[in-house]
Amino acid sequence: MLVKVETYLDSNAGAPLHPRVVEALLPFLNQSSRVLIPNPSSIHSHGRRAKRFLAEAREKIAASLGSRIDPEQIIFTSSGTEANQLVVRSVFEPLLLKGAQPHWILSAVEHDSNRQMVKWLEARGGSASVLPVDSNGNLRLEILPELIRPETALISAVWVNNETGVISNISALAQISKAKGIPLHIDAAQAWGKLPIELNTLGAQFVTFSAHKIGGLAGTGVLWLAQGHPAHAAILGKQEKGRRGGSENLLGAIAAGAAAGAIGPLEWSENVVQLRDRLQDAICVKIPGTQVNGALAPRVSNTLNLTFEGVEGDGLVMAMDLAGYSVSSGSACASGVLEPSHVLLAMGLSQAQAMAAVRISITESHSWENLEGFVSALEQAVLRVRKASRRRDL
Amino acid sequence: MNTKAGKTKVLVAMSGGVDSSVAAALLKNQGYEVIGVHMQLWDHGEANVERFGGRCCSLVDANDARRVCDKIDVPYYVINAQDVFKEKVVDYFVHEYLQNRTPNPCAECNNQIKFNYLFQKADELGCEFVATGHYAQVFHDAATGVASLQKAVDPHKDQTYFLFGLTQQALRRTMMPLGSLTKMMVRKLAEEFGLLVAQKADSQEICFIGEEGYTNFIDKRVAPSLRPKGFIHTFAGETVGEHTGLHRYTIGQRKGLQLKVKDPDQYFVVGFDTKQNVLIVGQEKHLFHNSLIASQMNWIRPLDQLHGIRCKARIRSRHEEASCQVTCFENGRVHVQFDEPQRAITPGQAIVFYDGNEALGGAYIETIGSNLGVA
Repeated sequence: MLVKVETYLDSNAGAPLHPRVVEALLPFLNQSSRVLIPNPSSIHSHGRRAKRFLAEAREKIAASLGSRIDPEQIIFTSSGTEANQLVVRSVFEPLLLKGAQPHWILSAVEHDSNRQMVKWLEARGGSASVLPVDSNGNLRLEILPELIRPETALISAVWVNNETGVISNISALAQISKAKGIPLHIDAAQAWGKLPIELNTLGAQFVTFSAHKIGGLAGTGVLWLAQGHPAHAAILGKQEKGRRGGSENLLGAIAAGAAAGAIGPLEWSENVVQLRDRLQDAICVKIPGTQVNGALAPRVSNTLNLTFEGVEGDGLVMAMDLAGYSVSSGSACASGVLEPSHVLLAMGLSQAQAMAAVRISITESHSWENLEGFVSALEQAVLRVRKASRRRDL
Repeated sequence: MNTKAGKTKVLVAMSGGVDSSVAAALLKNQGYEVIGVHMQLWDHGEANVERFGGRCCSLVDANDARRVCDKIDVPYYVINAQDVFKEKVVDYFVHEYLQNRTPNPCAECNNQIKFNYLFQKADELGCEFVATGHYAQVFHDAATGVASLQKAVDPHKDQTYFLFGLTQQALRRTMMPLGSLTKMMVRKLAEEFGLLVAQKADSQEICFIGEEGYTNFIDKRVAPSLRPKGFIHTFAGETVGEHTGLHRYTIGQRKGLQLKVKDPDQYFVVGFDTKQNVLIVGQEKHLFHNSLIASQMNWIRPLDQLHGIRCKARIRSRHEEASCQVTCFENGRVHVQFDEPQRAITPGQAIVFYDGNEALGGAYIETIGSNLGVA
C-alpha cells in the first residue's frame, strides 16, 4: 500500500508505525525457513517462546502506564472498542444478572464504542445519563453530583478527546467518583503517548488503550483493571486468564509492546506543540473566520479542530482529499456517509457547522514545509466552498 | 488523450448501478478527471446489508459504487443527502397524494437533488461538469452556447421525461454519456471494463418505497384524520361504494374499487371531490379530455412563446406523444390543447413537450380541461 506520510494529517485515526515497531516485527518475517508465529497457549517450546514474547510485551506496556503496574492486570483485546465494551459488560453484567437496574454516567463526548453500549444497557433494564461538556469541551463536573444516583455503578469519561484533543480533568473527576464510591472508567486511547500516565494514582479502576494510536498495529487494544475489579468476559476462553478468549494476537502484542517502550510523551509534546501552534496561527491569519474548537481548554499537542465561517456540510474534507491531504471530519457511518460530530454538537455547534469541521492531527515527523503546503491548499478549498455556498444562496 | 478532457474535472453521480458505473468508466477512458459521488438519499434500515432487487441506496449500492471507483481508479465519496431528499422529494411525494395528485418523485429528485444540490458539491470540489447515467443526450450549440436536451438513441430507455426541469445553467454543465448507447451495449461495456455490476438488475419503481407499497408508506406517515374514509359517487351523484382514503386512488384506476353495481368492470376513477371527500367514478369515456392546465413550466432552452407552440406532449412516462398547442402565461402556467382527446390526464404528473427528438421542457399538470375549476 502506498502511503505518503507527509500529506497524512490524521494520526489520531491511526499513527504511522513507530520505527521501533518495524524493528521488532521484522525478525518474525525475515526468518530463513517459512514464517511461523506460534500459538502462545501451546505447551511446547515454540509455544513457550511465543508466550515469553507475549509476557515481555505486557511488561513493556505496564512500564509505559506508570510505576509498579502489575502486568497481570493488563488484558489484550482486539481493539480499544472491545476494551471499552468489556469494561461496561464487566461492571453491569453481574448486576443485571442479579436483576438490578443499574445506572451509568458517561460524558457527552465519549467515543462511539461507549455510546453504543447505552442501547445495550437500556435494552437490559439499566439506564444511562450523559454528563455534558461546556463550549470548550471541558466536562461540566459541577453537574456530576446531581446525576449520581444510589444505583449508579460506573462513570465513564474520555481522557483526551480524539476529535478536539481536549484533555479532561481526570483528577477532579476521580475525586468525585472516589467520594461517592463509584468505579471510574477512563478511555485513554488518545492519551497514551501524548500525556504522562500514572495509573496507580489516577484514581480510575478501568483504563483502556489502543495500540495503533501510538505507532503499533491496529487490531490490538489494551485494558487495565485495578485490583479487585474483575473482568466479565464477553468472549469466553482460557486465554488472558479467562478474561478474554481467542488465540492471542502475538504480532499485535509485540508491536504494542515495542511502541509502548518507545514513547516519550514529554519530549514528543515539546516537539509537536511548536508545529501545531505555528500551523494554527498560520491558518487563522490566512483564513479569516476560522474557529479553533476547544481552543480555550487544555489540549494535547498535536490536534487541531477547525470550523470556518460560511463553510457547511461535507465538501471541505473531500476537497482537501482531492488536493492530496488526508484530514478527518466527524465520523463516517457504514456506507461512508459523514455524520455531524457528536462531540462538536455537544460543544454547541450547529449540525451544519459540525459536519464541516476539520480535524488535523500531526506527528513529530511532519516538517513545516509539508504544513505550509497544507495551509495554502486549505485556504483555496475554503475559498471555493464559501463561493459555492454563496452561489447556492442567490 | 484529449487534452481538454485531461484537465476537466467531472463529478459523476454514482448510484451503484450499471448505468452510472459505465458512465464513469467511459468518461475516465476519455481522459476526464472523474470523481465518483454516491448520494445517500434514504435509510433502508436493517434491510441495508442484504442485496434486494431494484432498491437504491442500500449499503450494497454504496459499496458497489465504491468497488467500481476502485476498479477505474478514481476518488470516491459518499455524501449525505438524506435531509434534503426527505424535504424535497419524500415530503413532496406525501403532500401530493394528500392533495389527490399523483406525484412524480423521480422528476422532482432530478430537479432538486441531482441537478441542484449536486451542482453545489461540484462547485465545492472544483468540478466543471456533473455527469449522470441517464439515457438522454445533451447537445451544445457551438455558435450560440445554448444547450439542448435530446432523447436517447434507445427509445425504450429514454429518460428525458424525468429531466424536463433541467435549466440552461445546469444543462450546460451536464454530461450524459449513455444517451447514444443501448442498454445492451452498456451492459457489454460494463463487462469489457470488468465492472462487477455488469449483470446487476435494473432499479425498479420508486427507490424509497419498499415492498409495502406507496399507500402503506403514506398511511404510516400521515395521521388518519388527514386521510379519512368516505363514499364513492358516480357522476350522477349516486353512491356506489366506500373508499378508504382518497390518496389511495389514481385517475384511470379500475381495480380494487369494490363497487356495489351490476357491472363494476365498466367503472373507472375519473376525479375527486375534495370538499365532500368523495371519490368520483365514471365510464371510460369520462376519462378522455382535450385540454389541461399545467404549472411550474420550465423551458429547457429559450423559445418564442408569444404565438403559442405547436409540439407533441407526453402526459406520463409511458405515454405515446400527442400533438398539441401550448399557450404560455406569465406566471409559469401553460394551457395545452390536444388535437385528440387524451385518456386519464392526471394532476401531479408531468407533461413534457417534444419537438422531434428534442425535449423542449415540461410542467406539472394542475387541472383537467380549460377551466380552473375542480375536475
